[in-house]
This record gives sequence, C-alpha cells and structure tokens, in this order.
Amino acid sequence: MINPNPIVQMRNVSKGFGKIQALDKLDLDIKRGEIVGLLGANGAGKSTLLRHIIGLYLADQGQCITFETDAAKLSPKELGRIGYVHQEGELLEWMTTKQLIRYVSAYYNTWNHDLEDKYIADFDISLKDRVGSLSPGQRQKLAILLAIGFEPELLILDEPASTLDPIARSQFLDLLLQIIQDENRTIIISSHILSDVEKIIDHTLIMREGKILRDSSFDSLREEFLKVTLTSINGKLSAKLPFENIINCEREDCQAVFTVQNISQQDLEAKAQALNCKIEIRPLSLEEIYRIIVS
Amino acid sequence: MSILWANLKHLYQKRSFWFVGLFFGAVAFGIAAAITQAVTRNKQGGFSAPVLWMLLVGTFIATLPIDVVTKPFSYCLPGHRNIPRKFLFFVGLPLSFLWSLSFFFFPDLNFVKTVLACLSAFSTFTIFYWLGVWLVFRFRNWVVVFALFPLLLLGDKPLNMSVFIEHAIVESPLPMILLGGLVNFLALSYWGRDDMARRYCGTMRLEVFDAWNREKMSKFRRAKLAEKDKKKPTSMRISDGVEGFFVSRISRAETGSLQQNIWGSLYKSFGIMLSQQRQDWMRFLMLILPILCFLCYMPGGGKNIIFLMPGLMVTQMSLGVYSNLLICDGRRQRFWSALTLAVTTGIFVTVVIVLLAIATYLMESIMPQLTVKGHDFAFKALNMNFTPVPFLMIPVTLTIGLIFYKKPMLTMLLAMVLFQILFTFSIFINLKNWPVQIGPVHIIIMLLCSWAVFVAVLRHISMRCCLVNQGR
Repeated sequence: MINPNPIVQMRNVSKGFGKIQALDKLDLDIKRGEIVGLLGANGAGKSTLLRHIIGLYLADQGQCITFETDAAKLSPKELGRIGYVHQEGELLEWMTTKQLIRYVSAYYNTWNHDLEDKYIADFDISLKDRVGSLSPGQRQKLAILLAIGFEPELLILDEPASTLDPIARSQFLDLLLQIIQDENRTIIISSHILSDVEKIIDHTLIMREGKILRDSSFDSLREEFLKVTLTSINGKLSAKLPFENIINCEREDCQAVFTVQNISQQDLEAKAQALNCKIEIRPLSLEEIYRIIVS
Repeated sequence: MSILWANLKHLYQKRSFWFVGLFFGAVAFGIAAAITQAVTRNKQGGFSAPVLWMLLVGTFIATLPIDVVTKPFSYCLPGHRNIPRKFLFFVGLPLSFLWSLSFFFFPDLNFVKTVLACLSAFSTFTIFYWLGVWLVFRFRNWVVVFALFPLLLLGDKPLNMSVFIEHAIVESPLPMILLGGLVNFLALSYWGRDDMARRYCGTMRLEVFDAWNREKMSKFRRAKLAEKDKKKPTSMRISDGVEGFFVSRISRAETGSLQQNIWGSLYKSFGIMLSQQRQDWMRFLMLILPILCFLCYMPGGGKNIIFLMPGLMVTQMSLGVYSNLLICDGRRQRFWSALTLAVTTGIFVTVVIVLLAIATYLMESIMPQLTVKGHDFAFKALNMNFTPVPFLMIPVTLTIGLIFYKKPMLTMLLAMVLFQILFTFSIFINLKNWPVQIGPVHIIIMLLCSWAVFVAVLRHISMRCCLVNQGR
C-alpha cells in the first residue's frame, strides 16, 4: 500500500536504455517540504530519475507516483504544480525574453508578477533580447524564472547553476533560500557544485549506477562522519590509536588527522582525554561525505 | 604517420563518408557508362560529365579540412595550419587526373590534340573541384551549397551545358589550361594564407550530414539569430498584434484545457509566419516565382517535384511531443496539440500549393515560348491532379519523423526514399499507356490511410513512450 503523505513515491522502479541500466529497482519517498540534494557522478541516473517524477520517462518496471497520481498520467492540473529546470534549458528560440515570459505565464493562473519583476531586476535579464541570442548563463536564468514564476509546490532543478557565473550562482542560492521559506514547497536539486547545495538541502540522495547509495537527512550524515584532529600534549602519539571505524588517517609524530564514522563526539573526546591529547572535531563538508560514500 | 596521412584517414574513419563514398562510386560508374556511350554511339556531352562530379566531390571533401580547422584544439597543434591546402590538393589533383585520362578515348583526335585535350580536361576538372571547395569555405551552411545541385542538374539539359564544356575542353585547350593553371595558383595562395587557422578557428559551421543533427542545427540557428539580431534586430520577430491575439486566448482558456494547448501550439508554430510584413511576403514571392517559372518551363514530369517538397520539408518539423516541461501539458494535451499542428500544416501547405497551381494556370496563357539553342520550351501549368499529394505525404513523413525521432539521419533517408518512389510514380502516371488510373476514390482512401496511421503512431508515442528529446 502506497503511503499518501509523500509528494513523490517510487517503488521498485527500473529503467534501461539498451545495455545501460539507468535506474535499478529504486525505492524512494520524497516528503512535502523537503529540500532534497540529488548527488551522483555523470551517468549515475539523476536526470533519468527526475524525468520519471514528471512522467517524461516511463519506467520499464515499478511504479512512480507524483502528487498521488501515476506519473505517466499527470494532467495539466498536477503538472501546473511542478516547476522543472532542465540542464540544457530547452526554450523557444525565436521569441524575445519578454514574449517567452508572457507565453509561459499565460498558462498559469498562479503566476506571480511581483516575483517576476523582482527576478528580472535582480538577475539583470534583458527583456528585448531574443531567447536564441542569449548566452548560456542568461538562458539558464530565464529557465529558472519560468520554472519558479508560478510558485510551484514541487520544484525540480536539474543542474540549475551549471552555466551561471559565481555572482549569479550566489544570487540564485539567495533566491532558493527565499523560496524555501514556504514550508509547503518541495525542492529536488541535482548539482555537481556541492558547496552550493549543502547550504540549502535538508535531505541527501546519493546515486551511483542507477542505485541509491544513501537516502538520509543531511543532519544525520553530518553526525555520521566526523573529521578529527588529535594532537598529543606530551610527546609522540601512540602507534595504534584506540578509535574504531576510522575511514582514513594521516599522521605525523605528534598529530593525527582522521575521519571516523558512527562515533559520537562524547566518545571521541573521552578517548582523547584518556590519551592525554587535544582533540578538534568538525563535521565533514558535503563534498567530503560524498567522496567517502561513493568511494 | 605524417599529419597529412592522419587527415586523409578521415575519408574512411568518418562513418557518414562511407555513404558519400558509395554515392560517388555509383555516380562515377554512371559517368563511366556515359563516356562509353559517348565513344560507341558518338553522343555529345558525355565526356564532360565528370565536371559536376568534381564539383560535388569538392563540396564534400572540403568539409573534412574545415572540420579540423574549426576545432579549437587544432589551432595550436603543430604542423596543422598547412594541412587543409595539402589535403585538398592531395585529393583533388589525382581525381582530376584520373578523369582527364578518359579523353584518350575521345573520337577523331590525333595524338597531340588528345594530349592537349587531356591537359585541358585536367584543368577544367580542377577548376570545378576548387569551385566546390570554395563554396563550402565561403558559405557556413553546407546545405545551402548542396541545394544548388538539383538546379544545376535540371538546368543542364535546356542549356546544353555539358556539350558546351566538352567543346571548350577539346576545341580551346590552351585557354582552358591557362585558366586551370591560374585557378590552381589562386587556390594555392588562398588556402595557404597566414590567417587561415585564425579565421576559421572556433567558427560554427554546418557540415555534410549536420542538417539532421538537431542539437547542432539548434546551436547553428541560435548563432545565426544572434548575428541577425546584431544587424537587424527587428527581423523575424513576432508582432505585438499576433502575440496579443494568441496570448490572450491562451490566458482566457481554462488552465490545462485542450483549447489552451492548441492555441499555444498554433502560436509556437505559426506566430513568426503570421507576423511577417507585406514586404517579407513579397520577398518570398520574388524567390518562389522564378523557381516556379523554371519548373514550369521544364519539359517532362520534373515539375512534380514541387508537390513532393513540402512532405520532405516537414520531416524535421517538431510537433512538440518530445519536449521538456516548459508549460503544464500532459500527454493527452501533447497528442491533441500535435495533431492540430499537423492538420493545420497539411491544410496550409495544400492551400499554398493549390494557389501556386492556379497561378501557373493563369500564367500559362501569357507566358511566352522560349527557344534556347534550338530547343523550344513552353510554359506548362502545374497538374492540378497532384495538389492532394502534400496532404497525403505530410502525415507519412511526420510518422517517420515520430518513429525515428532519435535517428534524424534515418528519418531523412527514409523520407528521401519515399520522395524518390513518389517522384518516379508521378512521372509514370503521366504516361498515356500507364495501366493504373488514380481516381478521387483512390485518393480519398490513400489520404484516410495515411492520416489514420499518423494518428495511431502519434497516439501511441504520446501516451506510451518516453517523451524527452535530450539525453539518452
């Protein structure tokens, strides 16, 4: 029985393209109000997964439910609650920016014209230019506006910042931080710029070869992996350190820097005290966590 | 391995060139047959047939060095800047030489005249080869260059160009040799310029089979649009009136309704066309009228090509079924808006063709009879019986386009095969003793069948297939 609460549910979803298994028996729940970071190398299956959610792809096997409807049968009513930014930004080239915004906004009763005006001003979008002559960064900014302008409940961002310059990226992050103030809004963001993603997400999905390696809250991931710097107060460190679950370790005579998994801060501090060592503990960045999980 | 040799390997390493090789091999075989006929039956013009072959070869071969010089990595690659010239000479001269040997079989020439004819032929073939190469380097869109060939082929017979060239080769060898020498010298300096690599590095160009590469075509179109906008920002834009008309209807329709999607689909497809000014339409007419006159003066069934071209042209038309989510259209909405678009296009094209056919009927009485080199050419109106052909062919080519959406090359090949079959059929049907008579009932049945198949395929793809045009 499928739980009606999650906004997206996938059960045993598989999708193949010839010999490539893009999604492999995937189970997934995305709850309302979550900001999900979808991470993975190129070809891990991220875009395929996102396209299943909006029904552009049909699963070979399994079921994908979005807004309590089979994704393949999503009607304009449900699709009107979904904003989708695609990494290649398919737009109507011959229109001017203004014409394209007017064309897309005509489809939505919920179009927020104040947000549109603010976005155009903040992101310095030229309304007179033809879409086909915009730079990749400008196109992406426009694609983002078209996806958020009607204030969708579910916002799917597939590599949204890949072509943005650093300033536009930072503005985009600020915008996302504003958007996520609405507790009912769910955002799924797939990106390779993990330093940006970690500022906004509260849930992490890490994929490899069509499988989900990790599906957990970002907070629990940050608690799970800790970076420890252990410095001996008197003399050298002992040859064998009494810590379990060490993932990697670099050491000198008086200092060791290592990463541990599933050990509480209290345990670490207690053991450091027993060794007569100074200890510094910090959570890992998303990029460091990602590297560990994927490797 | 030398750099030149590595570049020559492209001739067989590029898969698309396998087709090119096959095509040229087959045409060369035909030319050899024409030359044999010229020898045995004393037919004029056969010996100059390689001229067109060399021109075509030039346009194809030139795309290979262009492919290399436009790639930024080759700009800094040691020894690469002179390669286009070496490559072009290495291919063009031996081919011209081989064809020029055919003049050894030219009848009624003594030894000296034969040698002079061979040298003259060699020069002439290289001239046409370099012309083909230059056209490709000059125009960024290879397809535009290729579009000239049907006109050259069709124009050969009335203007007797092949006989004229053959005479020039045999009767005036010295001027032809001098001209050839000059052209080759110019080619040597033109393709050896210092700024050659800088001029072409990183430029966007369309090559042999790029017309069917959607991604590259889209990039090319974008680059052209950006250029056009710099020169004339107001050209090819949707007018405020047209925008207001469609956008107000989309807004007023119920959200997510079929009506909304159909208005949107029509706006996307016809917005630009409806926005054109009177002078744009006049310019279009000025372009189409000479072609129409040329076709109507052409003897035989060649003019029927005009009924088949629309079908071929819509092969790459986007019906909006395969697209990402820009607006909130579900699968059902995509099906209906695509169907509306196909029917509207079919009706529009058919109406245009009917109007053109009527225009030719009106012109028939006033257009004079032309006499070119002793041949009389009368203006013959387009055959009204063929006017349903576009409406019959459009759903068939659209169906092929839908099924093989991810294989544009195959789509185009199949559409061309269909084109050939129908073209041949249209010529046979004109013959007086052709046994099959096509009546209105047959036409209606064929129309119904072609549209029924299209609707069935469109429905299947819209409702039961993956609908993304990018990625895997």
